Amino acid sequence: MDDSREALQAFLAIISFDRIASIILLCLFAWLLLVAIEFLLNQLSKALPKYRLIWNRAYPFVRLFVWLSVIIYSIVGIINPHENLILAVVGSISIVVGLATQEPAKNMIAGFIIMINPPYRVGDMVTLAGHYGEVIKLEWSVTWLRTFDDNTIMVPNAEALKTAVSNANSGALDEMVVVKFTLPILVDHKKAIALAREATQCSPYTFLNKPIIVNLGNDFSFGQYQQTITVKAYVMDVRLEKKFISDINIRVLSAYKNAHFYDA
Amino acid sequence: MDINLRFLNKLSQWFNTLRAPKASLKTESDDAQNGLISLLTIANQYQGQATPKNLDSTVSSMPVFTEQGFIGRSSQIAQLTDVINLWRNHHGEISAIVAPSGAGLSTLLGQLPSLVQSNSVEPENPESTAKPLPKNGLIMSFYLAPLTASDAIANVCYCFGIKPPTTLTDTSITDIIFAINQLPAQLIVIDDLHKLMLRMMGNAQALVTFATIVMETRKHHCWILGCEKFAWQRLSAQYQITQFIKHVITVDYFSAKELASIQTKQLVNLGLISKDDTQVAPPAEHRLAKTSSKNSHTAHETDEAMNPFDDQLKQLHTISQGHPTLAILLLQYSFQQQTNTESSNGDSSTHCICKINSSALQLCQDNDLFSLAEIYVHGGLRVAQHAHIFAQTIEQSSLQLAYLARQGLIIAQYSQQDFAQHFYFITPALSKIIASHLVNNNKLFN
Repeated sequence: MDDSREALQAFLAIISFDRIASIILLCLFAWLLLVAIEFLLNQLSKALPKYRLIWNRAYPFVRLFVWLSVIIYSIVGIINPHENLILAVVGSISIVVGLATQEPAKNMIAGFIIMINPPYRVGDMVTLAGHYGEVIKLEWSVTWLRTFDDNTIMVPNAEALKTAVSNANSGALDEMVVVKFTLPILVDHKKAIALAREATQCSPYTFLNKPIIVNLGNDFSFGQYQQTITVKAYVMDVRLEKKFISDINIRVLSAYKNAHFYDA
Repeated sequence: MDINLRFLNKLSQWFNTLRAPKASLKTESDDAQNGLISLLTIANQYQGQATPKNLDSTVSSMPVFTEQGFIGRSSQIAQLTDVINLWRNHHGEISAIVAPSGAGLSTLLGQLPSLVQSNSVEPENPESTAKPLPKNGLIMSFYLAPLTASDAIANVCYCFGIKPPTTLTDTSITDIIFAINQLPAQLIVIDDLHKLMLRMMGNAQALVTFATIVMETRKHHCWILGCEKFAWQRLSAQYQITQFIKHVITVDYFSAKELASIQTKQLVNLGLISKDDTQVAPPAEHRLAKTSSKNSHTAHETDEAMNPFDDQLKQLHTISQGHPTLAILLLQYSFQQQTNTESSNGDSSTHCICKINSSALQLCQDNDLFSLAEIYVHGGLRVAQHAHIFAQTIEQSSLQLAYLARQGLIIAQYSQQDFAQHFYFITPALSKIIASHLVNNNKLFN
């Protein structure tokens, strides 16, 4: 009983105006520092768009480091509690972790895992929980996506770890895009492949440092045999994906129409 | 913790508005007073000095740069000499010289005839099996990229003065190769290979035909191909051109020392320093170097010269990044502004080189940058070609290109007959600045 009273007295002794004010000031300073860092990284992204993925990816790690530093310094440097108290707090945290079946805690732990061993990073084009878009923000508990419809979607981090994640560019600015075309079976397939390849090469959005692959297949649908041409090419920038698909469609279809492939 | 940046974004917008030059209000003289020169002013200065070219030609013989006082590039000239000697000794392969736009590739290639002449002076061993040096040398520049195999054959025929076949048959290419190999050996230099490449349907086959003829005639004729650096990168990625070219000679922008030598000559021409100031006795080894190379002055010649504008020349290299045309324009403009300031204020204490105000480039949208990238790599585009590449109407392309020309980023050569045939090319003095911006913005790739 005496021990409990002593522990409570020790805990109350910790709570002083100076310490609380110091911790608040420290948090405020950390927040301002993070705002400044984010602002600078945004400016860097604008000035050097080629390296925007690097700047964007740096921020989650910086934030993690800053807040961990704040927490550690607050405990060790400002509060400086007795060993018994530390043990008591660790015990309490263990209980919280034990109750981590709660969604927020689950998401935060998932967020931490994602930061340490990332299946995707800021700037990647991913399919998360059935939504396809660019990762624009990676937070402790949620991941923010921007879709091509300009919708912003929040996906809980626990969801990202629970389901399969499809990452289209894995950290690179360029990304493979696949476009399929269907042609009547009687069309000259060699010419069709050559036209598809050249038309793709002519698109100003094609990333020419990587190969353009054109595959031929066949299909039986609507009671007819058809041949399928699949174009696999890289777009210069993930943000141009839809524009690139549309551009390839325009070019390849124009080429096929000029070659009278659809006349029959 | 999520950080709401709305306030900071607003602050940033306000800061940028405050900082950004107000293009509509700001005049050339305002920029000049602040020691700046806009991209448009550079373009205007360049256009004031350039001579118009004929738009209707498909191919033309380049003017040969017989300018005395060619500076630097000694390593590249040595490599070219080796290439010609290898060809003479029956190891003929196609060679390429790759240089960034505006680095002086045409001037370097213009030195080839005099290089060949100087080699031909050397006594030949009568027992040697080496081929004699070609009597004919031709430096070519293409204006129209081929879009069919017959266009490509016609282009090659122009090189040799052969009449191209009227209709293309299965044996046309073989016949042309045979005919070309029967002609006396020639030295053929293509100044801008990149102009043969066009992002339009049909060009791929035309390039393959052209390359086949060049490959099959390489033992008999000496082919040297000049190409822009980024276009070379595209050719390498798409057509694996490096597999067919044995010798690739690279040229870069001028070093500080070389640029200083060029500008010192310019200062002498402007009458700002006298020849006596630069002509101090060179050391013995320099004198020897001078006697061994008759037609090219080396950058070392002026090493020991007392130049009162040394600081300005260093500034000039930093600002122009070794781009010779830009450096000359900056030098002229800066001294012109200096003279104006002196006459109005009577202050002649400072001589500073104007810095470049590239805000026009920063204001370009994504589609403008894509246009600039294609114009850069192609060495210029007609309105109709631009419209085709970007799958838009000719009118849209015309307006977009006119806007870029108004910013000074590209220069127009107008066709009298048809606005779709107006030809636009990157302002040569700005090529380095524009290329760097495009690389930073992920529109051009090394």
